[in-house]
Amino acid sequence: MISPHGDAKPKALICAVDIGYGFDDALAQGTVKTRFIPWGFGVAVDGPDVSGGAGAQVGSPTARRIILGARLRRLREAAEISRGEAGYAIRSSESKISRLELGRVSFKERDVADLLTMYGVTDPERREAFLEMVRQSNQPGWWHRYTDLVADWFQDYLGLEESASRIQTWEQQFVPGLLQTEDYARAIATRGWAALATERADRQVAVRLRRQALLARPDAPKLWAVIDESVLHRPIGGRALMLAQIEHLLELTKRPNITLQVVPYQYSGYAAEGSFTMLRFAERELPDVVFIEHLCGALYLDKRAETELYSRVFDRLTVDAHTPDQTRQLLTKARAEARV
Amino acid sequence: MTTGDAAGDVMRFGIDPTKSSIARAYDAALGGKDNYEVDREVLRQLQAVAPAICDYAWDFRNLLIRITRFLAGEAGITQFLDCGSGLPTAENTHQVAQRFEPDAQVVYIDNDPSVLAHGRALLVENEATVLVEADIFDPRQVLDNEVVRKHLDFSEPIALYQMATLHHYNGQRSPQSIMAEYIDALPSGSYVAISHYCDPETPEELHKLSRDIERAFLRSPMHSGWFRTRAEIGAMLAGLELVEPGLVPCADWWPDGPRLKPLEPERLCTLGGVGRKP
Repeated sequence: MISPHGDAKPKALICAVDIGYGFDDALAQGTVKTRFIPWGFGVAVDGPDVSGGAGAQVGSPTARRIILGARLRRLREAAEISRGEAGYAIRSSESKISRLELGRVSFKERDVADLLTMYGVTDPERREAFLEMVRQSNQPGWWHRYTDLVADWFQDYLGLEESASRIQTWEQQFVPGLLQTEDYARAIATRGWAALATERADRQVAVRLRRQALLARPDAPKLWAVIDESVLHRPIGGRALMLAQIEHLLELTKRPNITLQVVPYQYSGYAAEGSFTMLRFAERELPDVVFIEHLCGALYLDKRAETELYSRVFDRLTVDAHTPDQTRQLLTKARAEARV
Repeated sequence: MTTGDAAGDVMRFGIDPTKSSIARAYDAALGGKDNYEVDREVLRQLQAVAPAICDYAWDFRNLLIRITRFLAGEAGITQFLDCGSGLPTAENTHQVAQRFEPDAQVVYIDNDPSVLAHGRALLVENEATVLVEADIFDPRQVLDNEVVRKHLDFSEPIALYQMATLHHYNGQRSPQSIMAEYIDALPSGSYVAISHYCDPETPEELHKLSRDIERAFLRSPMHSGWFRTRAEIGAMLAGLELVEPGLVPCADWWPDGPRLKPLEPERLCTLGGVGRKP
């Protein structure tokens, strides 16, 4: 199973994922409602196999589905039709409409056509535009070739990551996945054991590298990564490998769309938040989403009150952290030390 | 980095969720996503007295874009000192200026820790653009800053911006004297652009409206936003030759095209313009 952070996890070896106290506190105060996400986005694979470049279009199938859902909700509300009535019209339930409008399940053309009729959308061109969106939202993303090793929840993540205009990530233990070298990614995928260096691990690494392609796209998202200082000193895969990883970070942070900040030891111990990633989208309809990995999958948060809590934490981390310039100086220093 | 030298000083950046930040409230008004509930609450309170408050905020942003186009294009200015960068938005000063002159030097100044962090990550995308931490209401801090001095040549014309900033200042020293110190430091041929919340004084409805908005600003979780008169704002550009059409409501400074409907009354409660140092 591969996840957004540092982390290809062979099922036999389970590594602990820390969910920080900050989050627990929020839970205790009842300010955060968690939802586990066995949404089964992966079920939406019924289109033709699409090769690598498909993800380069603006808006992945996942994002299109969320936008389509939001538009249908507005139409329904404008027509003053309840979710239950709409559900009945497509031989289904109120909760199905709710899931469709949140973009959590795939759309069928026939259902959308019936809904459009009910909502009073009769203009053939307008109807066709909606139906075209349904078809596009059912196109598989590039990661569907890896469904045997990419967990359902992580497919959701990949679908959203492809569409993000900004990716903000806080990572305590690993170099964030998008910034890893191939060797670093392989060291994690195999836990450093030669016996685990299987074809499966190779394919996990391939997913990681394929993901990284989005940063080199002409319309690449902005990656704003904050890591704990300890990440630079944890010799994953050995010192030589870590040296190469640090050099890779120095190279990547020259790009204007990649920012890295290191939180120094003296501040990081108090943060108490576990690693998380926030995705931001250019589309007004798409709310920010926060992904937090845990042992059984991931939490996905998109309610404003929830994402705001994480936004504030990220704000504080970026202010506490070394500036991007200072971080590059620190990397240069770490490189010099690693060479000794 | 704000304070933070002693080992015990752990929380360098306290986040008070009950207080709105000026930068985030503007972001909310401009339809950005870098804002919190408390900032949107400011917006709602302002909308109660001035329903077109988002257009009001856009008037300031669009004026900055039009003035930058004029300065980088027509006036041939290649150095910009933008006081109060705010949170990065779709079109920032350096993007507009560098479209005309790719090497245009743009120095942003701000001292909100979160604005600085966002700016360093999202705004500073090339060598010709820098973001400096300083108090924009303390001209010496800005003018004596090493990075400012390194990036700007004070023997060549500079465009200095105090756009939508001075109305958030109500300190001991007068805004006019702050501006006089800035203007004094600029070489001949430099330009100064300002925009400000304005109390038009007449007619009575606009005078009353502007003071109602001011009260809403000051009572809101932002606690900031002072309306000044034309005479007070004009005195901030003392000694400069005003570029046509002078100080006018922001939306009326060389608008991009014809207007089909009259401006909402609140949008007449601003003034903006550009002066040239002889």
